[in-house]
Amino acid sequence: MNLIKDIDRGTPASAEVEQVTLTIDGESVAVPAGTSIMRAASLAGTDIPKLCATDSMKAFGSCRICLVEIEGRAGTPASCTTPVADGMAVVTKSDRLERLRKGVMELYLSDHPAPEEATEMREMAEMIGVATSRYLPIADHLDAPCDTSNPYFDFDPSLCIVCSRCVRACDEVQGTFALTISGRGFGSHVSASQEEPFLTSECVSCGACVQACPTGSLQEKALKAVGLPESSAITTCAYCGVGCTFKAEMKGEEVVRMIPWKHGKANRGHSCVKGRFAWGYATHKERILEPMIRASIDQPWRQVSWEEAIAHTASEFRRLQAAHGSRSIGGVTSSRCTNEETFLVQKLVRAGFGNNNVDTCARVCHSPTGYGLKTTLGTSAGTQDFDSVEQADVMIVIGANPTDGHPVFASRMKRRMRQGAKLIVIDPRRIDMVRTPHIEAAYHLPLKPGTNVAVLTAMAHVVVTEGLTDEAFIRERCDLDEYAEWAEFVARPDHSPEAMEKYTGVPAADLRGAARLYATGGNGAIYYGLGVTEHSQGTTTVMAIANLAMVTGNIGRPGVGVNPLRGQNNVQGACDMGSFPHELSGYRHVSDEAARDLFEKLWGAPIDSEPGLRIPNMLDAARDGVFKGVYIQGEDILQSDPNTSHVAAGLKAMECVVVHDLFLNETANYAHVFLPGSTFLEKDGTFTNAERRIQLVRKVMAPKNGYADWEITQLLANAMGLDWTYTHPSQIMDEIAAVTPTFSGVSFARLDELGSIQWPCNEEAPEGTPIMHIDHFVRGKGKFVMTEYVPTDEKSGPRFPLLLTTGRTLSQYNVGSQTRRTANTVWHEEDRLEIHPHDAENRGIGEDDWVKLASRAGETTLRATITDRVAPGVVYTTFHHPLTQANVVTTEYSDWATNCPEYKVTAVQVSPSNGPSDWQEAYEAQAARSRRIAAEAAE
Amino acid sequence: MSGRTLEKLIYMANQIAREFAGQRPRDAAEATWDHLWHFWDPRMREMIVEHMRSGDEGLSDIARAAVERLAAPVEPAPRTQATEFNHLGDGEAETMSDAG
Repeated sequence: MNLIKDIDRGTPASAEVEQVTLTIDGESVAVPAGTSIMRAASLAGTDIPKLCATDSMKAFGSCRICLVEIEGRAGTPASCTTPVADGMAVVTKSDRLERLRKGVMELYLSDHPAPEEATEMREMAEMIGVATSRYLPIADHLDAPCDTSNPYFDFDPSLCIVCSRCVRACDEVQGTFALTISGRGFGSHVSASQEEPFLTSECVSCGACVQACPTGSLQEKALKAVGLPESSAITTCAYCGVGCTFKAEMKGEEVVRMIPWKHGKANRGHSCVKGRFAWGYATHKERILEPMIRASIDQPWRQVSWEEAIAHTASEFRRLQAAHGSRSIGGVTSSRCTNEETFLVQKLVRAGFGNNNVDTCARVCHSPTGYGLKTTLGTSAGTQDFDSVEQADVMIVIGANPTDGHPVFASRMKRRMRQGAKLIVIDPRRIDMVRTPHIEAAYHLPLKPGTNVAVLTAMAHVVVTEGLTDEAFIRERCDLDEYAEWAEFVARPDHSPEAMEKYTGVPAADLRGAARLYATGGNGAIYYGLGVTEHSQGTTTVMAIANLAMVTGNIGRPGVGVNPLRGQNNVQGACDMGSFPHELSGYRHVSDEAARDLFEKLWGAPIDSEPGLRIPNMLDAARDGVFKGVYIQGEDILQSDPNTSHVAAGLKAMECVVVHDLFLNETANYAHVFLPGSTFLEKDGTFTNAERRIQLVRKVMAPKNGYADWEITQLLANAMGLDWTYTHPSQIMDEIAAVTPTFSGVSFARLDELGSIQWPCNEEAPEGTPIMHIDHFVRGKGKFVMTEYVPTDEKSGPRFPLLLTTGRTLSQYNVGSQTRRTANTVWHEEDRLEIHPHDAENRGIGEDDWVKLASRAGETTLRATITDRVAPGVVYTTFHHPLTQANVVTTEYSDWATNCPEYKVTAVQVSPSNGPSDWQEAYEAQAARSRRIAAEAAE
Repeated sequence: MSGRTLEKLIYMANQIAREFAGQRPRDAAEATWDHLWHFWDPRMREMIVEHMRSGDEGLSDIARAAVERLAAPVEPAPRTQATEFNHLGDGEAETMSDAG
């Protein structure tokens, strides 16, 4: 592994097609019109020194280092802000330029005499040939105090040259506008918010400013602590479904820093606080590195060898199958693990266990997306790439909170809005996208939780009854009979915004305005998240979204489409890989004999033609005494699945629960075998992000637990009699490609070559498919589905008068097992209940008070935050902390088609409390008991 | 057999039937039957069939009709791209590539 060095061409590429020819130092150069002289020179192999310019941001022209001479023009213009012109003759090296640059650099050095090692400042001083300044230090900033408040980076103003790169990065790249230049003249300085420490300012710690800083004034603490990197590799983030590409910089076996890779096609060089900084969990002291077993869950764990752990697990699984039948065990794949690992777990279940009892955590997030989009469009995936947003004119964000859940993509959305695109937010909460600096949504439809279908059907009503349909698109692309029936259905008066208002709470005029804007505002793109899927009618809502896109012709080209924002890094991949109990990889049903035949021949084992159990069905069957064992890779179902007491009862009823994870998570409290897992830094493989983009994950350090996760599954498979002999995950991908038509052109070599590939990748699309359904839908004709609004059976009433909805916050990630073990806890150390001031006052609840949150399923306590971000009657919390256990109160109501839980609607009551409930205290004590490791073995 | 599980299955069957009644009023029972067959594991199907045979309490009309079909020795067509999208024979089989 060598240290990969980026080339910074100083200014962004021009999008112009027309070519301009000029000479630079006598050499002829042809570049697109609009290119800066600096970039043109760089492309021609001539580096012009610079300090305030970087190619991730617009030129600024402040540092006066990049001056050039242009034949026939007076003066020495800045090459970063001067565009090329046909016939232009540019000189980048001359005595005059050298003198000017040295003079300017000396002025910088008079205030900053010792540039930091390995910074652009040092590099430029050396390039210009200046080591010291002839100017006396009459005044300087060397005594300015360093701001060390942020856990991940420091701001040392004594090194700052006020080039504004950090400010511009915060504005242009991140879109938070947290930084500014305060003061005037020599007193100018970078200020976070209103002269606040970075930690308490509006800064979201995305790292864009740190990356932009040319002097080391903003620098990662880890760089200081560990030292300069010696090697690096390009890899893929293991947090959300954006799938950012990073350059992992290493010193030996230690990560120095993660730098967002500017050639990454998902993130285009940007990052968020999680991917950029929150990787410390990989070396956290609570990580378990030795396999452990125990006979029953009330015993302490006993550390054993890998051989014993694997042999014990295989023996237990075979014992259970012998006693209770082949369908008495199953497995759960993880959206955090690689495609290859996921594929192996479902293969183990199908070929080794001999059943289809395999499911994945997508069950509780995006399973309705798979069902809904396959039904309407023909493919269980989003239609666009992320770049598509750059051509969107109107965006609908429904049931998603991109600034927190998908922050890197949110920055791109915000940038597009600053360029003039309109936004419609459909969400019970006033999420940040509704109004933040320099952007404001055209419409916010604050619907009552559980009424998505009513809102979307009413929007379709407006489109159809007001003649805003795209008739040509519908005629050519969709099933006309189904369309006619659907159009008649949505046009009924009882689907009008006025009629629906009593259910949705959305003012009819606003809804009409939003529908008109989406249908007539140019390219219309819909982005959605779990606020769509995690409902009793989650699948119906997905289909209503597809209906809306089809009826307005907003599908099949850049700038439009139906875009599910996936929660975890590999939700798309886990679904693609055959993790569902009814589907083989590539979404082929197990009843499809031809598909089964393909696998049976390759694997040499029969494939059950009957669907297996979903996770909630597994738990029910366990409580019924017929499901006895489960292998859970990388998922914490006790904390993440609904109705915690039911999950606990199901796990407790099993005889062999195997948890394969990094930490003793909450599910492990009920486990009999613990197999320590590996982090994304410790293995090779691929993740597939929300835009169907398959990207390589590259191993940068040896697995601290001894094995990559795919190797552990292989050990278990071998112990169960399967003759797997994979020596590298690339062989697993080759097998995936051989049996999965949409992956037939994918291989590690091809991924290396292209950087990433969006499936389908096959003979027809050898380099992948950025935009789907361009000329026709995968299913043939687009299918309009009637979407009758059915109110959820989870009703508020006198006992439970409020509706609880749940979500996640920027700094934490899902059940928090990773982010809670990083410094991200400084921003979110506990789950809070957001409650409207009116509801709080009615209950005598003040800010920070402990409150009891009770539902029909259970109760917990947490502290209150009073905010009008939520509407009266609605409360909101996150589910990142196990002690809160927000899922103690969520119910088992679920999506009709997929059993995706209805996390987003729970009727609750909130009342003052003294502190943690009896249940929480009992749980904490039980968890502590369950995590005991026998002393003699642990020594 | 757990009463709790059966109660959930009855609820789920009714929920599916209610949705298909809204989507495909003319063949909601058939759609519900097809769904139960292709998404419920054999034990779940057996439990709901057994319940129907022993009095069908709590099942909606559409759900009951679907479960009655589940009990019959006739299986729905397997789920393949052709049967799901119902377009083979329209000359569009060649367009079924996921390359879109």
